[in-house]
Amino acid sequence: MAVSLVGIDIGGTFTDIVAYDEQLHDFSLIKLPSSVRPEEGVMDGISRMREAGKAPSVLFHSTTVATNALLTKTGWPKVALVTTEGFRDVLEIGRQKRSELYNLRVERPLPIVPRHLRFVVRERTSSSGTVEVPVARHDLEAVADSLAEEGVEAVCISFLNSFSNKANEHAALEVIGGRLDVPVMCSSDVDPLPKEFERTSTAAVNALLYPIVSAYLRRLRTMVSEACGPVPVYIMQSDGGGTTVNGAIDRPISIIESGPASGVISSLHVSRLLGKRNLLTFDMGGTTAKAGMIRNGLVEYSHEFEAAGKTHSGRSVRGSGYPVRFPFIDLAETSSGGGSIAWVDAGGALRVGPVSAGSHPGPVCYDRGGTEPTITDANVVAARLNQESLLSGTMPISMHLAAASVKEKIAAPLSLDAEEASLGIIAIANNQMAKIMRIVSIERGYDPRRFDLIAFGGAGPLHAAEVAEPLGVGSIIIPPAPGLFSAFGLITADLKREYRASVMKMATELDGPAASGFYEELERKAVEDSVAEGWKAKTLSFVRTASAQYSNQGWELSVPVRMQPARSGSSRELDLGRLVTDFNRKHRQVYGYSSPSDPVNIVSLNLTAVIPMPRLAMASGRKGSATVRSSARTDERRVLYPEGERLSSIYDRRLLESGNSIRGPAVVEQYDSTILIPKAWRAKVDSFGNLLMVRKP
Amino acid sequence: MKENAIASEIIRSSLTFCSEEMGIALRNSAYSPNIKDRMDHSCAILDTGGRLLAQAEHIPVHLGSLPWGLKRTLERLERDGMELFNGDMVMVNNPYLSGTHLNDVTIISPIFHKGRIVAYAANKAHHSDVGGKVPGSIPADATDLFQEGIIIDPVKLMRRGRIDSDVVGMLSSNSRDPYQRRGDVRAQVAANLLGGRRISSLLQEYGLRAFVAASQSALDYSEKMTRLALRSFPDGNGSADDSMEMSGIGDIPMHVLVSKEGDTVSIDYDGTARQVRAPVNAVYGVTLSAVYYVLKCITDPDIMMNDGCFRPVSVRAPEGTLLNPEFPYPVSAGNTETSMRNADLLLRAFYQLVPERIPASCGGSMNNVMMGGAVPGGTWSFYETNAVGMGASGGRDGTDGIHCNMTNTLNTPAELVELYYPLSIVRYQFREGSGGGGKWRGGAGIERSYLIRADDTTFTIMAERERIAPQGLDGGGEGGRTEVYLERNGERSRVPSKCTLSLASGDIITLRTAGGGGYGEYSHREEELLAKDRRDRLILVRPS
Repeated sequence: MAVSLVGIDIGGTFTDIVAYDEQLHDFSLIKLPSSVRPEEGVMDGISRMREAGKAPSVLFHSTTVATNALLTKTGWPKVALVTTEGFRDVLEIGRQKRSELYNLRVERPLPIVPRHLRFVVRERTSSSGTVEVPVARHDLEAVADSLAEEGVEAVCISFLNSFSNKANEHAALEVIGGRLDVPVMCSSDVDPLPKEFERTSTAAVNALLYPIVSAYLRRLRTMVSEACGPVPVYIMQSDGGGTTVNGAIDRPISIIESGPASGVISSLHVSRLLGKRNLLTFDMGGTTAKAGMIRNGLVEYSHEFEAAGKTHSGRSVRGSGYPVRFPFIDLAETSSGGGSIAWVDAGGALRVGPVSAGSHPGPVCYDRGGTEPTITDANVVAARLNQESLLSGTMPISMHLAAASVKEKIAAPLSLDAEEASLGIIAIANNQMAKIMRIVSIERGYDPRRFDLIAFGGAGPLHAAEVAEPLGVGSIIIPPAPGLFSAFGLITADLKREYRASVMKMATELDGPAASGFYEELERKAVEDSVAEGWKAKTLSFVRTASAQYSNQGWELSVPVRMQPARSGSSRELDLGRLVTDFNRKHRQVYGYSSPSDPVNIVSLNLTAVIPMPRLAMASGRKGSATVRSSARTDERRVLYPEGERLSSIYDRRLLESGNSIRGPAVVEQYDSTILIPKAWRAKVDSFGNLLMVRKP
Repeated sequence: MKENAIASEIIRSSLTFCSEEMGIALRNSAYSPNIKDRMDHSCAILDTGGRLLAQAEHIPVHLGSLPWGLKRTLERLERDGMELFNGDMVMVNNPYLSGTHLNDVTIISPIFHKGRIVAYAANKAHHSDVGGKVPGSIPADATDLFQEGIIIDPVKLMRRGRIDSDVVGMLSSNSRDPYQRRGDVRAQVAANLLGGRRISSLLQEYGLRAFVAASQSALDYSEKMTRLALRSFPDGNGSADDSMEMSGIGDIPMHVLVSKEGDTVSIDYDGTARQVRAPVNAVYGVTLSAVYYVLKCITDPDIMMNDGCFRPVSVRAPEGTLLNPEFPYPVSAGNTETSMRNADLLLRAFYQLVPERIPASCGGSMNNVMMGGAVPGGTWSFYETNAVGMGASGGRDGTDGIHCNMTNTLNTPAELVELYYPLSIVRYQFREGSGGGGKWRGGAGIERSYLIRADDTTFTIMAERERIAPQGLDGGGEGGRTEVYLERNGERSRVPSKCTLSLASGDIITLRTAGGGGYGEYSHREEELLAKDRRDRLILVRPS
């Protein structure tokens, strides 16, 4: 049996499986409906691969177990919090802000630890790190007894100012951990940074997820090793790096956004392959569209997010979820997916989403009982999608039903015809998606015109050109299997672990050796952890960044940290001058100005330990000429564009060869997606099978 | 024509998005925690007639006051003959023009297209100190506007693309933290520049004609939606009375009559007290904010906010009264406290029309805490507001310790307070026994204690609901009233909820904010909730 790298991406509706045969450089792809129990989905995927003669040598997995637990709020373990006397309710008060301004009955998300399980002890550390009141052993013993009596399943210890000194928290850990047989963790170990609510929340979420994630992953590991022997299992983290089962169990907060990260990591792989270092990622599926960014060959991260929170116009709504501080790939999201429903509101305005027809009943054209017109229906009426069938002819659809519903629900109330209404639905959806692309680019200080757009997800390639145009993006990449692109990202991810040291000092108060001291400590820990996982320390590489702000600013920017030869001795030390210059530059880029004379505060120094995975070699596609073989051009039909109806050639993507060139207007159909090439664009197939679209000058 | 319906929809949503984007830019680049962390700011786009096209308000007290203030400011510029050129920006904070209180500095810039002004971008942000007699610029004993800080009538902050550093200096040198003022003003400028760029690119893409058509159809659309929403509840009148508390002056009565007929609503404050020599006067813009806030809550919060929403609403507040004072009566707390009481008042009046949409009263104050003084190397100034208990409604308990009604700022983390100011927070939790009893209990207030670590600290508290408790509804009990304490040399004494004190290192101030009112009879409270009350101890039940 051939040995393969196997990636399994479990989503809400589908489980996508990608296997890569390292000898043959050959991919196999499978899409299965998701099982109720995720571990069964994984085992199902493995057995399907084995049937196809592929034995996994390494298993990569992205899971929604953590995020689902937070979203559904079911099956929560009983978690307790031990905190500083006088600060019992920090976890519930949050930042005092309500998540909806005009809702007189607004509620907070259900607290992870209810008030009666929030215990307090007398202790105090100052913000500068002095232990003013040591925590008393007998107080802790009393608390431990109460915790045991309550039968709690996990405990989180979070004391005020523990970012400056962990001593009191660690003393508490020793006593409580020694008396209880459940996971006990300190906030300063999970997230050693200032702001008591965010740190406590991060630690409490970690404590909540610990029992859930560890049970799932231990079960999974056993099942996998029974079926396949000692195969390493890696889990995708929110930062797009893989971690071991042990790593994920220790820090379950790291895998909350496991799923969405994969698509961006796939894009990173394409970025490296094609040498295109600046990419906007555009992922449009059935219910949502997501935008992300790769800049200078690197993924852009954010260091805080609200797990299970709501979003509004692409931005997360503060106070609607559970803050977690862990680097994650920051994606902007909007509810425009193929299944999003178009409607006319009471004021006579055409709206699209946020309600989605989902996969059941799905768009009207599926003829499964859907009656509300969706984006997919609009695309069928506009002949952008095939009007007879989808999924390479395996799924017949009804153009007639789609048109009737667009006509009745949209066109008639707006005095338009069905074609105009369909173009309207598409235009409004495209505008919403252009917005999220702007959030990840312009709003963060980057000019989208300097980026290529990579489009994936089942619906991404159909809308990419018209989303790109208003942004001034002139180049689009469509990967070979856009609908399974996220699963592909799993097997291209490096392994990573994040470490942070709280600093809270002005750059002028530090010197190179002192700052380097923080890194020595972090690196020692990183080496220790990787040795414990059985890796060779020499395979580790380090990425260093600093979180910095102007003194008194509440918002940090992340800047790279560079090392320089030390002035004395042979070692290397941190280049503080460079750090300040880089910070000023980044501030100007993101916010439009900088204040080089103002002091720069270094909030934290961060280390990412990376174990690179071998780069996949990609097989070249069949080589052809610029002219497409006539067999690949399967049809032609009248397709609607904003400027009018145009006869467009229809191509079958399977029959395209590298070097083939296509001029718009054209439509390329494939099993898992459809690509629209408007008149102003032309496309070329590259040697890896990507379709590269370029706007004509 | 038909295509224009789609273009209009896209331009309309782009306008909203543009104001939101300006708000993000302002927050991201501001210096002071008040804007950066607490988001005490709003951004807007106006048409050439000064009508609001789109607004992103992060706190409701800017809802009606920002457009009112911008319109008045533009009228003033015209009257004064101040001509605006491409690249100009005007700064103003006179509340009688710009609409709230001196702390709120407004910056307006014209947007040009082919040599003509076609729209305005504007924003307003709360500066934590603009001078005046106390740090934080909300003195409890102010008798006129001049004591509340520097008054800026419209002045050009930027001329043809160049910031006038003299103007920035004039503001910053009048503040106790000049460094933050400069940073915040720069952030406000950046936000308007961004707004201008966005509108310009819309104009380039769609042309002026389509832009104007879409803007005007957006106004009509919001008007239509507002009228539809108003039709959804019964016609009739409702009235309510309440009072502001002001020691030395006594209670200051407020009265409102709301009348709803068909798709219009009128609000009349006739019967409200005359303006007072105390900072609780609320300029007319602030009065409008409370009206629009309450209407938005009880109708459809998703209607795009613009001038069209205001058309079916008429508001009458007689001149020279608490809710429409005349220059130079002091107004700093009208914005924070009187606006909160006005919201309570309006909600109670509307209870007579739409009882099922109205909760019991919330803790009814923004609980402004201001401190400052001199330390070696400069001056410092600290400002924050504190949450209250939310009123209970039929079917659910009120939320504990959350910002209600006219504000929604983030708190300042205790760890940052201690890092950046000569202060420590020694207690910060829900206030036990403060949520009004009832079948559904009111939310609990907050208890927050500040340890002062510098001598000669000037402390000001500006809070309400110390004497007149938040009311329950439908038989529900009152919420706990506001309490403020000073602990000095181990002795604890009660201090008024509006006062300025001189504090020394080691003093501790404790603020206990008001709880929300209960809803329904306490005797009907379910057993399961009573058990939770016994564990959590947040409910206030007075013996009947």
